[in-house]
Amino acid sequence: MEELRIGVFICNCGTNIAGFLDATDVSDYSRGLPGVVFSRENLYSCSEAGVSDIKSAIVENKLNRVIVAACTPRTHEPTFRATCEDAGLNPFFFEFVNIREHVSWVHKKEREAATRKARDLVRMAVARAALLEPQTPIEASVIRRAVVIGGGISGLTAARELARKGIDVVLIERERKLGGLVSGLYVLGPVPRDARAYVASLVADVRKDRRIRIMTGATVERIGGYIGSYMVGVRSRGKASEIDCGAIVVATGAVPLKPEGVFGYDGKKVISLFEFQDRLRKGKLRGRRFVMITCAGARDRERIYCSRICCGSAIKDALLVKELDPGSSVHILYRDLMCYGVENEGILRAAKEAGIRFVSYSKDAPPVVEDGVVRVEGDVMGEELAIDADVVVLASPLVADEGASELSKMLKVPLDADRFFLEAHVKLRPIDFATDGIFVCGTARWPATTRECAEQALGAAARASIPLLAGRVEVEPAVAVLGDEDLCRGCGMCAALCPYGAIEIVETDSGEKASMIEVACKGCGTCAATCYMRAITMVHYTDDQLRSQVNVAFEEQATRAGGAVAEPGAAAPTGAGGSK
Amino acid sequence: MCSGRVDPALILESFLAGADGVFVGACLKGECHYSVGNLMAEGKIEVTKRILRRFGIDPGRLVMRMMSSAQGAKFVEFASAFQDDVAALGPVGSSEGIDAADAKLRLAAARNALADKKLRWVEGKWVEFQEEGNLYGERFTLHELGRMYEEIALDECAIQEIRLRLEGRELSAKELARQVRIPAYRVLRHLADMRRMGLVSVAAVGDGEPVWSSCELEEIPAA
Amino acid sequence: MAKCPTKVADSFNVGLGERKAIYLYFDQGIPSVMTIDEDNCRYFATGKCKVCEKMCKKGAVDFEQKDHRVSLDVGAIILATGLSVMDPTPLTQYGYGRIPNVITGLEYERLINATGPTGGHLLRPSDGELAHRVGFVQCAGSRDLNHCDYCSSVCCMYSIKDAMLGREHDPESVSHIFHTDLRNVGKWFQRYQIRGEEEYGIKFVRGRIAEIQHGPADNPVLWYEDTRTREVASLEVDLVVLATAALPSLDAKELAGTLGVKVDRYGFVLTDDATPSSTNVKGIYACGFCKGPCDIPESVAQASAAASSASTRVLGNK
Repeated sequence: MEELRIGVFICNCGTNIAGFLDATDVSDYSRGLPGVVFSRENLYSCSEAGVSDIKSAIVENKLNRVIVAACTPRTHEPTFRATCEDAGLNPFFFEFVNIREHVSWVHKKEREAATRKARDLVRMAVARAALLEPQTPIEASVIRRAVVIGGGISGLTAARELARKGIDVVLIERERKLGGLVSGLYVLGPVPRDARAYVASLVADVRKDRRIRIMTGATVERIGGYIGSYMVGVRSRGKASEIDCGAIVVATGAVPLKPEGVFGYDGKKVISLFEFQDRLRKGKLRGRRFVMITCAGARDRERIYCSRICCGSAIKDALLVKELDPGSSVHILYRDLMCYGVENEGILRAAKEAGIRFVSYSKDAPPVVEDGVVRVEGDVMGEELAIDADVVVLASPLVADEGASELSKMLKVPLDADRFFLEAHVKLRPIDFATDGIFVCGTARWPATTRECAEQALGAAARASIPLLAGRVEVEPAVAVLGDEDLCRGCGMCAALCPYGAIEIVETDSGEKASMIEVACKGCGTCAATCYMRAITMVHYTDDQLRSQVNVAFEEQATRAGGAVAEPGAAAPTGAGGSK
Repeated sequence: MCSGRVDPALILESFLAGADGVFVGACLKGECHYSVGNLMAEGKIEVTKRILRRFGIDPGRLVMRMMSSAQGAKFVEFASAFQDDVAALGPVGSSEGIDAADAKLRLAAARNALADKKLRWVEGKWVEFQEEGNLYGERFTLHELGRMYEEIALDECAIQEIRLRLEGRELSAKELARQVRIPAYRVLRHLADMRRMGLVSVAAVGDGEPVWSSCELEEIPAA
Repeated sequence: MAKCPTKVADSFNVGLGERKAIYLYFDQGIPSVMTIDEDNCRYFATGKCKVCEKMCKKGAVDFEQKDHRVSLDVGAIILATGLSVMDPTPLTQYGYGRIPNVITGLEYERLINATGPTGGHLLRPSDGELAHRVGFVQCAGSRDLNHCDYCSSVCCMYSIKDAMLGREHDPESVSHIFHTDLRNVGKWFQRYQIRGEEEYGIKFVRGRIAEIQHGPADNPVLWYEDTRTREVASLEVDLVVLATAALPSLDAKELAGTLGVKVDRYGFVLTDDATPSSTNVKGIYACGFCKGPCDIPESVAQASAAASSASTRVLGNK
């Protein structure tokens, strides 16, 4: 084996790191570790200057392992791997140490201890780096077909956009009709738009596109596979079929909460906003005195979240009523008016000008709905009001679809605490899932206006089109492999445990054995930690690599304490049942 | 890497490397980024704690805590509490009233038990038995699984410890019983089994009481 | 850079620090190349100096460099010109620029940032003392008929975040947030708000600030009516942070004019709800704050949407 030449770079991150620990000390210290031939500090390792500095250091010092002690691998591991590659080094000879989130940011007032911890972490990384092996990314081909689950405006928009890019689409809708929630609405907001006409034009576009196959009355029964090669099992009007596709877009939407037990809901004189819209559309709205109550079933103990669109919807509907019957009275009882942005605030202003009355109430003193009267302790005006009401309208939140839970299990993607789909990163990757090749848009992700849904749908189509149009994907090679086939007994425990269906038991010349589908594996390692024969190896996170880190973790303390007690049976014997 | 990747044997490696406590952080239930890895981890940690207890090591030295990445304060709370707990316990052995060399031997035996097939098999079935039941469709509660595991672990741990105690030493069954903290008749039963497997042999018979020693094995894969 | 004799207020640190006439935009900027500020460089003013040229061992300083025009043939254009923040000086009731310890949210961001001018310590401008008591004033210029009558959408959340950061840097920090409606409508935002209140001790006060007065020891004094208790009250703090209104970026209107893109009366690019990334001009798309207030996740989703519309056009399938 070639001589080990490890280079260690300590990022100062401006003062983010160097301000709270002695980066120079850590750099000097790392130079004394086994295998380390070079170390230095960078002001910002990730900056252009830092990267080119690392690159030239690799070349000049013939480094064959590179360690950067900086921040989170989440953002910059790809940066430094690419740096290694540019310098002619296999990117998997790179090892990242997080001395910002794990050290400087959490030990701001303990400079010495923080420096010691940074030393420990770098020492552990050096130990592991010595055992790293070169890897090549796993490549797989991609079937140029997408499945869009959900035929509401999000799914329709996504399907249409994908088809326009030349991608075949199968659109799966649970109901017998396309259109989803919006097709039952009257006028959309905040800029008024006829809901049914909007849905109709989308449906027409989708229907006439020959690249789109529509399956209505269809439920997803099974999903298997991985990016590039998913299999979606569908039952449509009694008939089961299987669809192969390269990517999946989840656009299953949400449902309006039926506010049973909230503010005296009875479906007659106390109704939900959706029922109100329905009456408006059918011209069946009776009465001239309306009281609307927002946060009906939201922002409480049971449902902590704000459903984002109810305030705007309520105001939009109140304006519709005023337009139809200028002499009518509308009161909107609210906690906070969520009229974010330009247009929502605009309709709020318009509503105030139109004579709609706004009364704020506090969470601790909710309005009381009695027969024909709503009593509320006006928060701003300070007196108890008794407002006569012919109809009370409850602006209730959107809640996650009940089918989401089942679908999330089939897709092997998570839901959040409110049972909405949980994206890969709430801030930076809002329409991706952590699982490659699956995307999310619309109210399946979180309550949103139709504009926001359409925008996310276009976004999801763009994200999905990347692998679909490329035709090939590269997958991180940190996966499980059957390291020792002879050890494998084909017991199937790993296959049963694998959350991704990435392990199959196959018949070989030497009996049943586990077989890994590398592209489907996410590298969680559950199988390796469980395999009773220890036949599975985690590539790039081998037992040896992990053990090497653990073993040096306490080295300094042991030296300080004056040597450790020797361990009996250092070379661990295998079990007593070896021959059973 | 997922908390489900944390191999119980690796936890014991950590203790052997000098850790006085091991903290495993995992996602909240239902929010595991790898679906159910945290539940697997929970099972593994549970059995590891049981094994520690068997060897007379305070199981409080190992904790698993669940939190989300948005719960920084919670992590600090958990980490600080654990730090305090471990500091109060001191180095492995001190709070347990065993000397350092003995503690090391027990940890090594525990590591070997956890690295070995038998216990790993049961561990692997942990979630399955809980959620789907065994071959006969019987589902087990955590308590029942614990008891079942305990029975298997009792033997396994004793065997592993006997092997290490006999390494380079010759001991009588009575002495072994004292050191391994189980009745002499059970030691004898284990020794008989182990002799059949070629792991131990009778070294000498003095005063009517045989003393035992370990046999060399050809190949020893590391834990 | 070290030898440059000219010091200028650093615009990246919103004027809270200084930079030289030759400088980096900011530390992590891409590309990481020095630039010379012609307006302030001594050589450009007097024809003498060139210290930087002499110091640079690699001969990278070139005083002859000229701007040049580039023509690009493209199939689509995406507007992503972002936002600028309102100068709160005209909001005379808040005394920005007159009362020393009244700053903007953006200034607070720089102060609390470890790479900022104070190394992450919340040192107030008047005396460089650590500010413990902070008052956040929401809707400074937003939802205000005389200035911006829309809601800037992101201020409620960033003020809560800033107050949390303040507490993390300084356990004695106490923040009051004076608000009208607290508009935390994004994913998990309500939980965040609750955390701010319960774990970080943020005090939420419903009420618009009527006036800020210059109190003793340069402490600003906030006068307000608490609309919950209906009492007029005042609060003396060490530092006031104005959540200033967000506007389209300064030259957005001009750019829109050049391109023929329609904007609303504020200068935000107009798009249709059903085709939210397309402007009125074929082949020109828009995303992010230039279309109206939005937060990071929305901007990211919109960016993908605009990329989708543009790529569909460029790929020639539409």
